[in-house]
Amino acid sequence: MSGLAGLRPVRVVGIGMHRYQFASDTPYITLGLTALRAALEDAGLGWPDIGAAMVGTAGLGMAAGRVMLRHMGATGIEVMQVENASASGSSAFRMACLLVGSGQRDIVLAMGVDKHGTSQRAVDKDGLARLSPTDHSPLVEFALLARLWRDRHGLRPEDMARVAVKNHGNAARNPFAQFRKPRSLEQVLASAPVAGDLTALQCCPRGEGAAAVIVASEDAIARLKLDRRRAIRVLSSTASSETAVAPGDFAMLEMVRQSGLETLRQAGIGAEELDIVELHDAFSIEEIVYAEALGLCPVGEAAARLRDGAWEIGGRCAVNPSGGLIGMGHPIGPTGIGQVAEIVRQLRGEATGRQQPGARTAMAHMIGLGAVAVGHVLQRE
Amino acid sequence: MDLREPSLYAPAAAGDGAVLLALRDPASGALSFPRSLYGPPGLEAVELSGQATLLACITLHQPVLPGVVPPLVVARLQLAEGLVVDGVLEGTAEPPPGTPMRAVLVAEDGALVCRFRPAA
Repeated sequence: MSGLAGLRPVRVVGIGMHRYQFASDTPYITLGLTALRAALEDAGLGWPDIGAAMVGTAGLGMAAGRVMLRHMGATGIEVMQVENASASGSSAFRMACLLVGSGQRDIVLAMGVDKHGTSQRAVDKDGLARLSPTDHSPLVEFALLARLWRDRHGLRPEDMARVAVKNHGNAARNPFAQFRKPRSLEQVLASAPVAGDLTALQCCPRGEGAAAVIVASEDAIARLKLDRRRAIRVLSSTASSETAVAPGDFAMLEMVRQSGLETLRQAGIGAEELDIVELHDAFSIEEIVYAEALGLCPVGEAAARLRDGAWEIGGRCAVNPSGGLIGMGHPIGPTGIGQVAEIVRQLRGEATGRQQPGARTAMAHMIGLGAVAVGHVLQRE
Repeated sequence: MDLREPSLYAPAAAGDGAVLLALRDPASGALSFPRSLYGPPGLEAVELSGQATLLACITLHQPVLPGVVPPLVVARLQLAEGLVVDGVLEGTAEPPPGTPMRAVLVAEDGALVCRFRPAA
């Protein structure tokens, strides 16, 4: 399958954010419309130009998009709510790309908005008892994976902590990040132990926020005289879920590996061409194993790449220059859209204070409970 | 004393051991645990020995989930019959990977619950 390559070109023409933050009394509509209005202004578009809206959210409840967007004016557009756990925003973005690529719409909004506290997990309602109360807990899953990487590849607690040091440092330079403080290796290691070798500063915060991006066709860009130099092409979009693996193997890792390969294949590039990767680092170990699974380095060598600075801003491939989920935050619905917004900002050369020099090609990759994977490659032309 | 989760485990024939309650596909021999309500028809009920090998374990230091009172040691275990499950270990020690383990029933809050302890 050729994916987006077989459809008409799709480009991101506008981005907007509401900063990720700890839970507050701010209504979700304020969060969402702040991001949406910023994206419209960035694109040079008005609300009536939007032909459809894909709204990623996991915790707000039914019809969150319609309830929010009616304050922009009732224009009769298609509004769809997209829930795919942590990949809700990424899935909304994928839906928007497919709508434009397939020619059904010319300009589509993809946005994510969420507030912490009301999301429910279907796995807790499946009627099956379990030996451990931690079954299906991502925290425990990844703490166990960290132990496995320790035993197989010699991964040390300080190797994982370097992920958090890097990403908190990047977040400190990102005005949309929930955490804005650089952290030392000593601070990360000395923060409260949570599970296994994971400490508090190696775990993403819970919070709220919003992110919005607008995708458009060639026709729309020409017709509305949008700034083509700031439009970023979406080369590929993939979505998948877990497959069966051998007992003891981690299905999540195989899913990410296959997802990464397919996302790169559809983009027609190799992992070595990526200047930036935004990935799902809800826990520090995830950046290590996903970076390996996505092909940024051989399995077992991520610790060395973290030590030699290859994944720092200014390194060979900046991994999570936004600060990632650990530093920027993980409000669920917005997270995947926030990744795309960060990548677009970087590829335009507008990421003041945290710019990856010469960045041209980037991947946004999210996983979600269940488990699902959604990947995109974007490129400056 | 009642079992907390009688759909998952039962007392072994002797001692404080536990057997795990699984399903087997008579055609392929494939096992599934726990006994799912949703699988294909025709699966047969079987008991698994409760013998296992520890693959990895970690200590939970925070009450991050309902039912978790830290410190709690949770483990990934490969059952003797091949399935891989997550279980709770008895006590607070973290045995090394490869340790032979067995399922046991221990009293906790007025009910018998399944925990894993080193077999030796």
